[in-house]
Amino acid sequence: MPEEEEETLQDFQDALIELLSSGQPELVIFETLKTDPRFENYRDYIAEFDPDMVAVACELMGKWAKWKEPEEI
Amino acid sequence: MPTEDFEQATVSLFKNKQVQAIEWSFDFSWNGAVVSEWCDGILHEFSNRGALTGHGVNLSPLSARFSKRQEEWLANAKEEFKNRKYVHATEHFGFSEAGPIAQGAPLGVPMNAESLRKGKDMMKRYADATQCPVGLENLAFAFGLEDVKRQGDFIDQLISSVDGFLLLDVHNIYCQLANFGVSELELLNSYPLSKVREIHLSGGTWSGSISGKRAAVRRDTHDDAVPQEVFNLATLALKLCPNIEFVIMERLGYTMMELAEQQEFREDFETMEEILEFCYA
Repeated sequence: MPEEEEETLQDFQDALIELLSSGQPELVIFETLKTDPRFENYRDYIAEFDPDMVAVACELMGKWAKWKEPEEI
Repeated sequence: MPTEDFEQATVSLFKNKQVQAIEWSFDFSWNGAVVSEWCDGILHEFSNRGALTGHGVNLSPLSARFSKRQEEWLANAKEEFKNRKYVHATEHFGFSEAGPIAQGAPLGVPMNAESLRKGKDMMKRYADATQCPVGLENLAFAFGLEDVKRQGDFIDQLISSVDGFLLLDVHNIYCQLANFGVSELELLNSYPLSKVREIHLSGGTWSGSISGKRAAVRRDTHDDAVPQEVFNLATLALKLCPNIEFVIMERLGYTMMELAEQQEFREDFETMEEILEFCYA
């Protein structure tokens, strides 16, 4: 069970950070968070997300994110 | 930040011996950034004096996956803390590494048992690497109100596992007050105030709201003067937190290019000096 939870959290963080750094419009990202099956296990958590803060997260990714080399992913 | 504008703004404060302690973002120089002779001299002096604190930026303590980059970061930290004496070490609450991103700004996490397990493991690794007390800084960013309400208790659980402490950033608290309209005392009291060993002060900016739910969004950008509201919060924090040892003012490099901005930074420093005198006299 802990292994399953670990994988679920890893998958969630991977998908979240990938979406936030995708360059799509913020409101599209906000809607995707609510419908994308990759976030199914964290639906209750995401239901609390504020669209303004999702927009801030997207901007932070654009400003500070340093991408991994392809072989590191 | 060891930039020319920061040096120009602070050189008289150091010369007049007004600065009693400094904090160094020690992973700043690991990416090949050059540390000036002036900065290196100050680090050496304050380290010898037992007045240097270490502040990590890129560990990403709540990443769900322990990466090779984090392993190398901890090895570098171990070396750094072996070579230079620090009073304690801190990092930011949240995760910044996952998927295709190696590092960035920290983001909130679902505060569940798995995040707690991962965070405790990383705090232990951090304490092992630095061989000194370790602490976490509260995050300004929150995905929503639930993140705001739960962060204090979650940080308490994380730091308790290593007998650690809280670095209370009062501008980060101000951001959450401004963005979520929560009560000042309620929010402060949701944190383990007896475990606060250090506080941060800084300025920030406002950005637009895409939802129209609020007039503007307060951002922790470290690129402006300290607002009066943050001084008020710092005064309150000093009264509520009995174990504060360090008060650190933060400013991003290259954000004080005008002489007036440098003067404003010195005035903010002196305002904080007066507040400390008022609180502890």
